[in-house]
Amino acid sequence: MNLHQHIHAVVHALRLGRSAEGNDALAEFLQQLSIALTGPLGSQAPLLLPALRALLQAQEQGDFLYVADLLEYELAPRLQDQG
Amino acid sequence: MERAREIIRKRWPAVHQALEEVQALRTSKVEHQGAFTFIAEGIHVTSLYNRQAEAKLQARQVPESSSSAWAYGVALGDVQREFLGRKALRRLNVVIMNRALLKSSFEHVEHGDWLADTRVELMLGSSQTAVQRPYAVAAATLRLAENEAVALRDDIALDLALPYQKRKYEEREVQITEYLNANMERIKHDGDVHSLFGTHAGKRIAVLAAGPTLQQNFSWLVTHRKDIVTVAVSTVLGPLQKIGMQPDYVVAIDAKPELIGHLEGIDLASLSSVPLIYYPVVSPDFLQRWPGPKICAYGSHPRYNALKAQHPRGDLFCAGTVTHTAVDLAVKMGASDVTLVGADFCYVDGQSHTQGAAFHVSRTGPVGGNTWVVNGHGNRVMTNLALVGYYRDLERYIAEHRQVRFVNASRDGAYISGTHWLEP
Repeated sequence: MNLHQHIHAVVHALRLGRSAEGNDALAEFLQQLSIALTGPLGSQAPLLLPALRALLQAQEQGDFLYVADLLEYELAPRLQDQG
Repeated sequence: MERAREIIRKRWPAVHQALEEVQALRTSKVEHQGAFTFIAEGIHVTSLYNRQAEAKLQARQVPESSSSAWAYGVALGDVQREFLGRKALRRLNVVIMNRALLKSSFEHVEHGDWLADTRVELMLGSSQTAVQRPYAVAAATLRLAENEAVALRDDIALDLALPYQKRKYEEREVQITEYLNANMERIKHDGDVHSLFGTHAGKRIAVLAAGPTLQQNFSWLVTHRKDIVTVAVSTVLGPLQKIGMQPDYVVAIDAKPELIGHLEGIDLASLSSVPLIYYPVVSPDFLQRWPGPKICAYGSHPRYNALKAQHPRGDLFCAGTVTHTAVDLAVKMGASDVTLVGADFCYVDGQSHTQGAAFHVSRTGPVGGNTWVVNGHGNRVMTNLALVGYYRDLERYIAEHRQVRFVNASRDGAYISGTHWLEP
């Protein structure tokens, strides 16, 4: 599964209230992203970090629809830009 | 806001009365490039960036051709408007998951448009306990459900989680089958749990589960040791040995390799006379190391059907947690009183298990399903959805066994319907 597919899976689950599934999928996405940030996406990390920080804070608060928003509308387009 | 309130007052006077009993939540409006939503208790009640797309996704969980639908939670009314835009829809049942949240929502958007639709029927989440189909959920309203609607919230959340849960169980089938095959010879020769049924008729049996409040009741357990029979889950062997207590029975059912961790640091020689009641899917290594008598039980899963025909054994109930199995053992042994010790189903004081239990961790932030239960003091305590499922299944079990007096030893864990409090 690529990063965009991960994002889709997380967003879909969270917006439908499937929180356990969404959280597991989010953990997998973050793991994949952290690997990518040490490799091909490394130079783009500064652009992604603000949204990531906001995402982790929202996750900590259980604000799952905002997590979905940050993934879908902030991170995904920036990852798209990276190709 | 006034139009919405007036419509509710005329059409649903009882709902109006219930809304008048609460104050609106304090909320804050948030905006982004012309779109807006509001935040209640730190939670965005809808998508900020595109509420309509989110509502469409949520409404799509109900087929377009459905003539009726259930909409759980109101948020900003977007899901309701999505449904009412369908020509096939004849009835929309809208369930309020949090009255105070709805009143707050009235302050941000007009809801009179959809409330006035004659296809709408409005009701309180507190009036229901079971999810109806087909349905859609305004997802944040589950997180923000009021205490009075928590039973319904749990049923909805568990229903939403079911497909994922099934997939996870199927992933474990290979491991389960491997252990079952490896234990086949043992099963033929080990004891039958049926031989224990009725052996403690009329007695008080304490089920020692692994929740954080187990340690609160160590003094009670020691004081009453001679008067009670104890059935412990294998997770708590460590804490019990630390206070010098040997349980009368130990139960282990999980097909997880890490179950062997329950025996780490344990003085196994001291357990040489303690029977272990197990499901045949338990790790062979765990069974090999257990020093005492081993007594086999089956669950209701179809995987045991062939075994039941060849090597009949008694059944013990389980709906996901060894605590269920320990409780059912106590009941089938004839207990007149089953005292639940450490059956917390939540993170009391941010702890996952009692101190010293196998795999105990401190939880200081939202984990897993990120939900809550109401404890015996009426306060909310964080938990995860799996624990909520186990807790609700235990309540159903208790309701089906009214001949037994169930006692909860602590008010700090989840309030378990059908139980009495332990008298000091």
